[in-house]
Amino acid sequence: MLYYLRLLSFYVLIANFPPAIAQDQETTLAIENAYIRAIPPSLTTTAAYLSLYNPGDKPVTIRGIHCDVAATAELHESAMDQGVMKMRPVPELTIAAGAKLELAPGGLHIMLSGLKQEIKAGDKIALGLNLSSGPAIITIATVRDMRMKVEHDHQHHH
Amino acid sequence: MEKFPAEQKIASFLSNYRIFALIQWLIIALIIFATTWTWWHSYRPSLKVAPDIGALNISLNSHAGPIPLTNRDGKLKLLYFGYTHCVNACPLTLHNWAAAFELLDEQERTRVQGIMISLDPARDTQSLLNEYTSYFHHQIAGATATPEQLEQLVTAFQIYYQTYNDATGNGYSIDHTANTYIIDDTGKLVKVIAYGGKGDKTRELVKTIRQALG
Repeated sequence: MLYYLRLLSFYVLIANFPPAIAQDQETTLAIENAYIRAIPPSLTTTAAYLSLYNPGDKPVTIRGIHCDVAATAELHESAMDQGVMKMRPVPELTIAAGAKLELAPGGLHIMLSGLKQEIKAGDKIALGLNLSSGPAIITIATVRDMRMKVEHDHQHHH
Repeated sequence: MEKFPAEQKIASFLSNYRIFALIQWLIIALIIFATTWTWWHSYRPSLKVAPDIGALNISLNSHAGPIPLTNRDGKLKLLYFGYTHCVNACPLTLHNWAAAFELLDEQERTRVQGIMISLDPARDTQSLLNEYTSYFHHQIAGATATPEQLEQLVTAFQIYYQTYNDATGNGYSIDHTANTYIIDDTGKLVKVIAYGGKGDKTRELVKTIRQALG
């Protein structure tokens, strides 16, 4: 009897457990770890990634992206559909109060096309995020060489 | 001691624990159903008809010259259908190939060849393709096929691809099947590896290559 009551209370507990919510702050949107995929010199299309966090108590909506070195900078989402990779523009992106959102390889990203200059690993490039209200937020993205540095499996070869 | 009616009701309800047992079994049944349903509907790469590339006698064009697919050169070929303006699936796949190639020993490495076949001949010149693929690894070639040969390959590997025009004037992207196809030097399909998903794709690729090389 007691067992089932405990079990039930456990279900209730996990269903209603309150998520951690940050206290009100001045910041409307926090951006961390912004980076851009390095590409070979002749290419003009790449992607930027970043981590977003809304510490406030109201949702924040990103309406557009600006990047000086690209002809167009847009929010896009790549998704797999039955083995087919599809990429679609995301007109706006809302981050709920207290929520975190990751723009990372394979999913949501900022598509930079028509690059006006060659970008090299280590370059710092400014990205402007236009919000539905309030001033735009500027973040500095670092161009990153994303080729994996693989450690050789020494135990098999030596 | 006499009990109040409400108290009696609650006591009788609670003592009838079968209701909780029932709820528990319902939840377990739901979990089993959901898991089965998800598995059944999840994407598993499979080709209804094994592609017969050997019979097609296809030779691709690359910056470094022709790449015959079935020339019995003893090399295992990794094929991917993509394009250089692709910012997600293509670079992630080629990064993974490069990482896998680096995990092979030198002997094994001489027996593999990666090839990205362009689905975007309008924008992908030979030199751009070469610059793009060799950036990831010198053993990954960028290649184009004639329209007839591309059609044959796409049909054989059951590739879906469709140009998507971005309404905002951003040019176009291409929706495309993002599998890696491994073929032997006679054109026989060894394995299809799906893009992304769970697990360590690099290790999976290394394992598959080693098994195929024997």
